[in-house]
Amino acid sequence: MKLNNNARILLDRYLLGVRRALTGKKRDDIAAEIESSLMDLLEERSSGDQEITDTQVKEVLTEMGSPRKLAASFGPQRGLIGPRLFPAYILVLRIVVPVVVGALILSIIIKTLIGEADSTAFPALEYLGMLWNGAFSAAAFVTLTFAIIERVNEKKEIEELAEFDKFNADSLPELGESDKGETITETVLEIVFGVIGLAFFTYVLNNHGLFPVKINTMETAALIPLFTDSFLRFMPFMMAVTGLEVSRSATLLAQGRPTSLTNWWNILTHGANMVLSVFLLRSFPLITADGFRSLPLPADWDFSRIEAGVNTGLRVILILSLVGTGVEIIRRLVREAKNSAR
Amino acid sequence: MNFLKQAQYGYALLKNLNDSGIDIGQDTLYPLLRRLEEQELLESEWRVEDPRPRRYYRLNDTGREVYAALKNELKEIDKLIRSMTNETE
Repeated sequence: MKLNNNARILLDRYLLGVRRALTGKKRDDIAAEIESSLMDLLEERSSGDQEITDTQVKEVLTEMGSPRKLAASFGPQRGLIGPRLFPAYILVLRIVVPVVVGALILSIIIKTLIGEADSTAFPALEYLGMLWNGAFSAAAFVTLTFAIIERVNEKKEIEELAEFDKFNADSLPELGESDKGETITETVLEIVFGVIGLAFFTYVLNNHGLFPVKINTMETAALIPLFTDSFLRFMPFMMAVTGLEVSRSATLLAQGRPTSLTNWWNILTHGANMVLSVFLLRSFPLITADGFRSLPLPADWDFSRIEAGVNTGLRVILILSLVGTGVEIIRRLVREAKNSAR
Repeated sequence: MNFLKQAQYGYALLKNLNDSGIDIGQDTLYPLLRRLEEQELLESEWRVEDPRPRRYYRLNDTGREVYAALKNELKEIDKLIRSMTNETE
């Protein structure tokens, strides 16, 4: 039995949609079994040695329903929200929670930029709590709403939801779209650099921001501060964000492929990075050359210029990282929304 | 479970069930097979000697025991219903 080119592409797109909608370690195995059974079905319907056309494949896939519906049937049996409503529930959850979190992040950024930020001891922690609270409340509200719909309409068919179950060739993902995300090398590098970063932050905190500086190659002249107190204040939060990134990379490595969990985790760490960058931008100067001024160094060394130059460089890096992180968050949100819609 | 005393792949099992008058679709059968496997009542393996790779399922020892117990229970219920209906007739 042979499939013509269009039929093969359509089947591969459908299987890609199923694979994306499946979760867990067995997703490739389940997708392979679905492919095998679809081929059996097509073989039974084909006449002799004739090539199978995309029309025949479409006919079979229409009977199977949308990739999401097929994948949902392989999921765990659910009590609160049943398989009938679950795909719609996940779709709404994936839209509502990011919108609420995004709106909160935006309000925090605006408040910070116009100088109306709270003057509590740990505003970053308070903001993280606010984001968590917002995300949790939104998720709880959506879950409760769907649980009520599930019970109220237990025996009824919901027409609008039937659309989610129908096969629609146009909404299948295109082949060649990256489904792998970061490579193993990138993930391992992220972990390595993250651990080095954590070791550096720990060293800085343990030494109260003091670094040994040698005037000549043999002798330790002095322990001098390189970071300002306002920068050191943020070290625990920088460690927390780095820890989040390292644990996400480790999870990604363990799972072997990006999942919705690691994508959302990534969006969360990027969001935390953005909030941190905004606070760091408002806390300049971050680097100080005060310690060098007391050292017996040539009198013509202009420490104020060096200090200003390094701080300006850092400011530029932070602004660029803020923009880059914002773009990355939007890119990932769009990708998640696309995956939800398929 | 009776059909799974011998190893069968999903689509063949589906055909056998449908031919026996049991109306079940792919979207119900395959997840059901997976669940029975998770409950350690079935064992499965991919076989590549067919025209294409296929996953074959069969009952394992626990599955056979559970199947026998279920069959006995159903027989008992059947016997009970028969005796009750005979009494009322």
